[in-house]
Amino acid sequence: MAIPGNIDSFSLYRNTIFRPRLLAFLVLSSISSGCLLFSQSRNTRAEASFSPPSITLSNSTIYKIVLYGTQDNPEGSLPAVSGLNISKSPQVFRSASFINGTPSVRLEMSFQVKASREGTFTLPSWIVNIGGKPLRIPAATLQVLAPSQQDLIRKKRQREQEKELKDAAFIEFDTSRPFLFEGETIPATVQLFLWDRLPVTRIEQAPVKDGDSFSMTELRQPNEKRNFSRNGKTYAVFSWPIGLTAAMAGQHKLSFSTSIRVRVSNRRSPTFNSPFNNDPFFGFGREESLTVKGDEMTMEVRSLPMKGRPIGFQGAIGTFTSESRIDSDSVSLGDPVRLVFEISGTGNFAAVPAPEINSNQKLKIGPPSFSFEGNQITKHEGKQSFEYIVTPLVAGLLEIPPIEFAYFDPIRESFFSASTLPHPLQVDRGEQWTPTAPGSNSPFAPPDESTRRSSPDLFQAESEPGKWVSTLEPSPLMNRAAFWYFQAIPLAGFCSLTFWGVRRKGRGKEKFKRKENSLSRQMKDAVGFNDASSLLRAFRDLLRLKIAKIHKHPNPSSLASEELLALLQAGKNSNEVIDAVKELLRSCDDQEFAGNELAKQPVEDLYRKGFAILKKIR
Amino acid sequence: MSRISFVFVSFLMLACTRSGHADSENKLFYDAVRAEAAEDFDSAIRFYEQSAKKSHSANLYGNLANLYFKKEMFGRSILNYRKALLLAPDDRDLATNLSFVREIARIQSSSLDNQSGYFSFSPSSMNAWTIFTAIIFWGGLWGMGWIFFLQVDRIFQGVIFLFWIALTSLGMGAVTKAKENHDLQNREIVAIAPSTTEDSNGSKVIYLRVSAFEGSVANTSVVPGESLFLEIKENQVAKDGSFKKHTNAIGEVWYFVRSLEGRNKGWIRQDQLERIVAPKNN
Repeated sequence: MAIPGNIDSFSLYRNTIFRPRLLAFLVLSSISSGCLLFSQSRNTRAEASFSPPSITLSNSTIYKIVLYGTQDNPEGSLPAVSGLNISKSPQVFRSASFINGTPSVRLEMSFQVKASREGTFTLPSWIVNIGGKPLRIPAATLQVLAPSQQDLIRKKRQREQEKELKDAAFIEFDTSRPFLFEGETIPATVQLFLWDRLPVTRIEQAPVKDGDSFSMTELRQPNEKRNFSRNGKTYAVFSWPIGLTAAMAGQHKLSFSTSIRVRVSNRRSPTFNSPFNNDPFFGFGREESLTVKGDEMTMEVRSLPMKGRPIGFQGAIGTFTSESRIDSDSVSLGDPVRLVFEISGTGNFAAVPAPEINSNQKLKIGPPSFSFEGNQITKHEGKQSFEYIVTPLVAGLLEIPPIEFAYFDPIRESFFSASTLPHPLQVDRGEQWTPTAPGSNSPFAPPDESTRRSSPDLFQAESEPGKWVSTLEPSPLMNRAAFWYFQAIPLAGFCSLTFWGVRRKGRGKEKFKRKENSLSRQMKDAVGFNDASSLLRAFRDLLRLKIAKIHKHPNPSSLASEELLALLQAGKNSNEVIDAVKELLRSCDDQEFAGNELAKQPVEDLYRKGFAILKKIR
Repeated sequence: MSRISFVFVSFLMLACTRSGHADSENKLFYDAVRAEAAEDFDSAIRFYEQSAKKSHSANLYGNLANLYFKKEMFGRSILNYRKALLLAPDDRDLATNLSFVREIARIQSSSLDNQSGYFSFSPSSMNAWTIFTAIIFWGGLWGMGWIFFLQVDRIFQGVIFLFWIALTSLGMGAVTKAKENHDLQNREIVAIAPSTTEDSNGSKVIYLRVSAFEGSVANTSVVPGESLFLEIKENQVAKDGSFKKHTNAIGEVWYFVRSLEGRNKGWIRQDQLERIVAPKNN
């Protein structure tokens, strides 16, 4: 047993000597396990301090907690101190070391702290939980001094840089009016000012609106204007015309922001806070994104007055004129006519729905198509056309009804209603076709009576597509698998019915057989007991059963003696059998009504006679 | 939860796709109606044809046929009336217009839709006959089973059985006949003039040639709008690709066709015909 042990020791030695990585692993493993064992066996303690312990107001410090003897995450909440702003996300550092040959583990947590005023602040003692055990963190004190001259200079420079930055790139928003009505669309302009010394490489995105109470039209390519002077600086101005629509009444805030890409020096200091000190034409710069925000402005959105609101008002707000026309005032029956209704002026064209014109018995009016001519960007000024297809349904002089259009004028602040003139439309009966009379020289046979048109006009264009179908002719039912699967249902029903019927029939036969045996036994028992009455009763029941079975009578017990004899005759039984049955049936009746008179007959004879008859009947 | 959301979103996307599809064909249809109202017939025809590539409706084909009639392209007019009648077989206006165009175009040959007895076993009636036969078959079988177990009179059973057999045979015969007509309809084509020329039937005739090339002698001729039937290759059923056709050296595809009665037959170039029921892959 000792020899293998020696061999193992030798091989371990050889491995450790010739494999330094393995050796290092073993050493580290033993240290770690030792540390772990030590940390588990030793009590934990905590230290807390500010580093540095005194700062000026414009600087920040670190609140550091060191937990010795553990590396577990502590649980607890940092106490709040008025005037100190302590970050919520600490930096955590775990370490293990040997101090004077003794293994030690610890956990460090560092919180960024900034003071909002001068004074001495004490973060009180507080408790954390480590592995379910409470541990008290000692109090720590921080002294915050008045800002130094250097701090003041730095702050001033920062303010100047912020102002410079604000002057270098800013957004302005112009509207034609300081207020607007709910649902009204007004033209507005969003302008982005970029100082020409600012090394802008591109505008990353068009200005984005911040304010849910307004909607605006899509921003397209901006208009660019160079060498625009303001406040002693020269700017490039990018302007986007928009249509701004108010969604809800009230005082609402609105602002715009965008981001631009600027080139800055590769040097990390000075930081991006001062990009203007970097000369873009020298050296290799890098690009950074810069967010440009416009001033927040408050706009008043007024509700539309309820007073004087026409019934047909559908939300059109602006200054409009309307007219309508048709492309032809004389058509054939069924030929469609275009009715064009136009609104021109300024207003919320994008939100104006088509006036509703209902079909009647004389005219069928299809859904309108929309088209807009004018400023496609803001859709505030121009001409909106609604084109309806009107199909006359009867011949004669018809009238296309006038179209009512109601709108709110935001300048005059009142509702108006405009109505177009009605259009007369002369409808003739159109081309007519008389089928060729039979016997004429035409080589064509007259069409079948069923195909003759009830109305005299031909080739009416339908203004509605009707029902759309995906295929011209659906595939036959026989070619669909579902049809054949469906056949399984009646097949299953039929099989069930057959099964049920066979079972029912089998049960009926069995029942019949049982009853037959019972009655036969009853007859035999009657012989044993010398009971003629019981014998005859059993005989009659058995006879009924047999005859009902032969003649498929559904209810054997209902058969009277006469019926039984009639069935026997129908069954072509011999007269001898019929007479014998008649005699026995009479005996049964007599026995039933006369009682003891016939009881004197020998029962044995009756049994033999009855049994023989039952065998013979058919 | 995420799976339900996925299914829901997929369903919405599918629904949006479907509705978007329907919108596009509706838009094309209304554009065509507007163009027709503006008497821009060429644009209207183009819009209708584009719409017909997306989906089908009787009114679409009816309007298209009317326009072709106005343009005096009778072959295409008849073709589109036939398509419209497939979708609305009971539309008397369409049937009347079709008869009128046939008369104007001087078309004498028979087509499937004006065959006597056709309406009884029309391709569109095949499903109705199939359902009828299935109901009679299963109903009769059930009834027979019921009667058998009720043990009713044997003569009555026999009469019922014969009646059932007769009705089932009638149904099966009707289905077979309708299926034949359905197959025939799938082979039916309408002769049209090539799109580059008008098929106004004034002097334009389409020749059915002895051999499948332009210079071949003509067996006979037809006018645009006449119905012909694609010949099936021997020992093959009527399926796409089983028709007798020939591609000549210059790439022209020719089909062998014959009239319904079989008297007129010959080769016809692919651009001179159009099938009423287009194959599925078209």
